[in-house]
Amino acid sequence: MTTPLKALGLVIALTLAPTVAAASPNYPDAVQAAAGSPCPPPCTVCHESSSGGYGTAVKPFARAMAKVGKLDAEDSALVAPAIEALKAQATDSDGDGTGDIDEVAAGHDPNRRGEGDLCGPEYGCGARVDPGQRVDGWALLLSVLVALSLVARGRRRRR
Amino acid sequence: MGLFFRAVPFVLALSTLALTTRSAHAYGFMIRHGYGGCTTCHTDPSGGETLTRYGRAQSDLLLRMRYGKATVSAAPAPATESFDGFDDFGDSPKAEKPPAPAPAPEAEDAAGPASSSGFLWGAFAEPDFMSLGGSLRSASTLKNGDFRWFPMQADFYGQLAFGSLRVGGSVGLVKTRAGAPHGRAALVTRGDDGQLNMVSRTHWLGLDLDSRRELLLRAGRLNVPFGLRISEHVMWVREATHTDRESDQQHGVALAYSGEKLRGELMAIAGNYQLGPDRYRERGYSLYLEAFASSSLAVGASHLFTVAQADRYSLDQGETLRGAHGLFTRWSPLRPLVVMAEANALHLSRRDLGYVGFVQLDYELTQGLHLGATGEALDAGRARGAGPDQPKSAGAGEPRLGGWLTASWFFLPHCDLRVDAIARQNEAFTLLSQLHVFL
Repeated sequence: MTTPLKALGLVIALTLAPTVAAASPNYPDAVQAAAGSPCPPPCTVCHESSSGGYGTAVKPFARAMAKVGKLDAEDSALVAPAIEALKAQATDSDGDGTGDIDEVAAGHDPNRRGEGDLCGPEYGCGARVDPGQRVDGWALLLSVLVALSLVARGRRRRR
Repeated sequence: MGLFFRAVPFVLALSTLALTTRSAHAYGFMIRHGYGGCTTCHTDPSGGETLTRYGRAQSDLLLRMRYGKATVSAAPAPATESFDGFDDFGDSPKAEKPPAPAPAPEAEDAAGPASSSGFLWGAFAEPDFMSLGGSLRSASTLKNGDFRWFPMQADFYGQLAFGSLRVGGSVGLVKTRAGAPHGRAALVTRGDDGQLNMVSRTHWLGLDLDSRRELLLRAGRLNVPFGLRISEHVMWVREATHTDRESDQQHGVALAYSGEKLRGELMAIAGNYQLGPDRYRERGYSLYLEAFASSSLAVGASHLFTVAQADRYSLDQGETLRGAHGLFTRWSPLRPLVVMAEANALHLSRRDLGYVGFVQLDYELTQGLHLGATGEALDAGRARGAGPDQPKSAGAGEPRLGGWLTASWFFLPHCDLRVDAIARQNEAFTLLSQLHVFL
């Protein structure tokens, strides 16, 4: 085996051999499900910035959550009991007269007095990729054949 | 043809895996070879993505491991202080300039660029007016004992040049999650959370304003000209200034100058029209200017100022003024070593003043194998707003520090493997590995 092929083999072994990990914990989805918000809230509803990170969940809503629940970044199942506890206590972190969970459910930021916007901007230009769309096998095969013939023609011309 | 059929399954296999997002490469450390400017190797005047034909050749000659064949990087630096090597090696459209010698022609004679340096490993010869490229990147992270693998990037990009008129851009596929800090700002389609979406990071029309192609006027979605154009989009200097090449591009008009001793770009930012409503769009300007003190030392300054009616990151609904102002440098005191550094002051409405900076060392152990060390610091300023005052924390009112140790191996034509050990204050230690294939 030549050296470059050995190198390729080593790289593939290092990067692709391990199995794919399980789904990641997902706090925004867990908050949406538990509080009934119209969107998964952004990371910044709890964290200092959208990058997240331990020790950066310093927003009033995050501190209120931590006070009533045992939270673990790797276990999103702990979110729902904390949300329920906040709801039961009618906690109002920003002191605007509306409880945190009611604000989240209405799509408002529980850290900001007044309504705020929990869902933020919409991304993309509007069209959607249909998740249920079947790939037509014949169309795919035809596309590949056309592409290969174009490449072959290009290489013949070069010679 | 045989090479093509050998390459196709590999490319297709990676394509099927590549479903999320990140941007491509721009190697500021090429200043070690006297390449201070970017237009020599990239079609974007400020670097990144699509390579020129000359850039492809240099990637093969200077970057990748050559396994015993004559290498250029290992050769002593040419004894010259001339700037001839900076921006004079444009590919065919830049023929008006007098041809200048390559940095190490002796090595090129000994082992020239392989035919596989071309697009799709040489399987498809682009016509002169066309430059094509693409990036497929997969990654794995080891964090808190949890191993994850995820596809990062599947982009196709290119440029068409008809006389002084140019058209460029990129399309790709991503899968992002709601609330994710990266990727979404470049979406074209609007699928649900976690679904496959089309992304276009850049798309633009350009006009060369002079015969030497030193002045380029572009309009469209462009990389924001600010600071060092590095490949690490999660590095705090890029993240905190919102100037990465992953999805922070903006629509607008930009004028770039690529001279021998000076380069720079000024962009009038009209906002990101791939997100809405309009109140979240930032408008303003951004610029950088970089001067070459010698063939191995460049010093620059950047300035950015934008206004939006709401902050799309914090979702604050008030008028949001954002600014970043700083200095950066690239210096190669010895051929194998490159030092890159950037420091910026940050200001944002409803926040105290802040700063962000980094210093990065890149050492080329042997051609194709790089070791790196990076230190970074961030204090984005403590938030002040309509709610209760937030306590100072690392990164928000107090300094937050981070460090990276990096190994990069350009092991085959168009292929590199990178491993980063990342330790950041208030973040779990992360081991990140990336396999990158460019077409």
